[in-house]
Amino acid sequence: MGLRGYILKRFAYTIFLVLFVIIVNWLIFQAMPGVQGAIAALQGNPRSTPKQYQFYQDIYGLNKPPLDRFITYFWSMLTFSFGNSYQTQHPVINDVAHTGRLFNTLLLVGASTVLAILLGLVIGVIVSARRGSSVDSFSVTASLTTFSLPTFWMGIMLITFFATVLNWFPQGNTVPFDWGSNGIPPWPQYLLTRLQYLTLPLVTLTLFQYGGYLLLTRATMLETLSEDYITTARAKGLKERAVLYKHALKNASLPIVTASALAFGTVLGGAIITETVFNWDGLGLYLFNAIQNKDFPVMQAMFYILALSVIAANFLSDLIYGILDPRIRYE
Amino acid sequence: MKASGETNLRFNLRRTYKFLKVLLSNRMAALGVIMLIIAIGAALVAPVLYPGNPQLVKVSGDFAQPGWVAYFPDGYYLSNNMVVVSDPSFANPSALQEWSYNYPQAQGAFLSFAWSPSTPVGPPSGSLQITSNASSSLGVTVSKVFHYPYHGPPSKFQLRAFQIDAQGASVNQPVQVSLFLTRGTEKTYTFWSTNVTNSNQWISPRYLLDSDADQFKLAGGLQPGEPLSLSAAIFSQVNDYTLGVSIHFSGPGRVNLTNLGLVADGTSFGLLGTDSQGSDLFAEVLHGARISLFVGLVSAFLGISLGLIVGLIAGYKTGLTDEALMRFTDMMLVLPALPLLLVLITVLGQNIFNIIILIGFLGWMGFARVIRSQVLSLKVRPFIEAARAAGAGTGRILKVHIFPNVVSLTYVNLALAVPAAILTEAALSFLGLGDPTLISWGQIISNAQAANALKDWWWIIPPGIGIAFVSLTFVLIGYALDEMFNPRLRRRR
Repeated sequence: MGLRGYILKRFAYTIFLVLFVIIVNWLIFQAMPGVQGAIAALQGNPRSTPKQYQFYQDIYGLNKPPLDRFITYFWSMLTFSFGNSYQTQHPVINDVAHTGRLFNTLLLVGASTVLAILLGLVIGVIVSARRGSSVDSFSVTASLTTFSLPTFWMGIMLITFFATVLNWFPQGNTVPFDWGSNGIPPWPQYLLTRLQYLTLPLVTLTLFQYGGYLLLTRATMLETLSEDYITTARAKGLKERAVLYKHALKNASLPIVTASALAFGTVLGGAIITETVFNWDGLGLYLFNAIQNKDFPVMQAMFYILALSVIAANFLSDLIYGILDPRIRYE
Repeated sequence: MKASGETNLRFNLRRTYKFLKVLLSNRMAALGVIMLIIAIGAALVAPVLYPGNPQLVKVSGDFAQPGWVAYFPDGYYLSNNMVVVSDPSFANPSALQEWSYNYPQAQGAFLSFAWSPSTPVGPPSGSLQITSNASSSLGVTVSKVFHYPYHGPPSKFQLRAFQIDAQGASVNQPVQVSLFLTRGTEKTYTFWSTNVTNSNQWISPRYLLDSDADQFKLAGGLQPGEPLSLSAAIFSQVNDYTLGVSIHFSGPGRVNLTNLGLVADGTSFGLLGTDSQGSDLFAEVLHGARISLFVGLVSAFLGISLGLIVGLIAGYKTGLTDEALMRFTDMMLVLPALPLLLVLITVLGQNIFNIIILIGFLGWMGFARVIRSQVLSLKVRPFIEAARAAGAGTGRILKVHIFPNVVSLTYVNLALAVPAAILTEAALSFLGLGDPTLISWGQIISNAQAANALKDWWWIIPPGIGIAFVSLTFVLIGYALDEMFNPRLRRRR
């Protein structure tokens, strides 16, 4: 089985996961007291007429047998037609894709993940070469500490210090309020302002992630550095830099790929918290508001989209792994 | 049998002792253990020091800063709680000595002051009885001078619901009563004044004698729109203040009065100040340790047990069981945990047991995979084969031969699952989906946010540090255990 067979196998598995998510999403929201609760309330109200009752049953399609309902639901999930949000009355997919929310979240999550991986890799490699030194124990302790800090609290502290006290950054939001009325400024200023608004949430979400990468890099590097081929490389008289970066890091970086995909779901959780703290207008805040207002179509759609993105991240990491590590294709 | 049980116990004790010795020789682990002892101590001490729910007890002014801030330049204007009258309800005859009595010297002979016990019709406590035998009008003042030592005003102050009963008063011969507070000698605020015309009836002010109440503000001489608070207007300086009531008889009569007292709520309190309800934040933070530790330990234990069971079975059994269990584990792993938790808690309701169970049920997958891979490599070792050849069943092999070999992994992951659970609970509470009836650290921060008090550092910082402290405790221990048990990380000597 070559690379193609491996990819096909992973792809089939991915499809299977998507089906699972669709079913779970159905089951959870079947238990939600949303529409069913409203209908039950209508039924319980002595002044409501059977006609009204029928009307709402028709609207929500509740008079059809469960299998028909499931097929309708299934189809709507596949076509991304999630219905209208109770709050905004717009189609959910429009709220997600065409309002910049998707972009905002991708920007925040993407930039912080890249930053965190870079930070984790660089510090991890440096530290693994000096095991037991004060730099080592300091950075390990620091990453363990950021592990232990609640994300939302870190965000609040950053806001208090850098926004309220020092006034370097805005206290929250994605863009200034007056952009709506005054129009968007020319690009250098636009970029600078956006960067200013991005900084604190970005720092928060990066701090949330980098510790894991640092510890992982350090652990795999330590393991790799004790391999025989590293001893050989050193014996050949290679410079320590070359040994570290060319021989050790290349092999030690593979687990990072898997770890970043596995951590993606957690990062999305961190993004929900970060976006809520900073009032960052992304998908996390959208989901949070939906939960606060019991906006079920949005909740259902958002859960589905987030789960899909985790599945996609896993599939992608499988692909990258398959390309980077030939051994995996022949398992 | 008994002897072997005893040796077993001895052996176990010795093993535990050795384990602890090795553990404590690691600096990180030693720090973690000390922190754990502190955290558990806080959780145990909380209900002893502060029985009951501290959020239901008002101890000082709302948003009071910590008491020690007064020692810093920023705390110059802070004030403490102050109780002006020690026995405002005249419960004992000695209460009479607390007050000074002023009246025209010449008419002193017509006046008498006495303590009277509670009567069935009157207030449930004693009262001060003033009798005048003078046929003409006569004024008398009962007052107490106190020193207000703080440079800033109290957060607010309240007067007792003052009660008075005038016998012999009528429309023609009213008794004039006024309740007042004087700053130094310059300014007098009259809080309530009335002409008592009914004989034998206890009356009190119709409005709340609370500096935040609008009508009381009006009575104190402030306009309704006035931004200045009444307590800031009155207690504007360090000075001697006089609290008192003046009574004017227009003829002979007798007056009973009680509930004469003033309590000022400070703008600073205790170790950590107060929240928006004036509740002691130190007590709340101590109580928070209980909830956070409880949630963390129980849900971590739940998740790790599930992971252990699934991992052991999937690793040991081959074929369909393994495949099905691992596929299910993988499927659960792609569900984003926090969104799923948020959605599920919205469905199931916000209570602590739902939270614990859900966190536990969403936290077993990673560990199950770890255990499975360990079991996979263990089960082909000769000692397992030997056990199987000797006729040991699956259950016995798992329990006696495999479990002891993965127990170190269990410790490590248990220690690392606790902070994850604590942080998840805190995040849930912060997002408004925690158990609103319990004081967890996340809930305290969430309350601060709801009260729009994110700038009140004494409210925000301590619970956050609490979460970080307890999480770090378990992270340190778990990390140290990992370094000890994980052969890949063990240092080569």
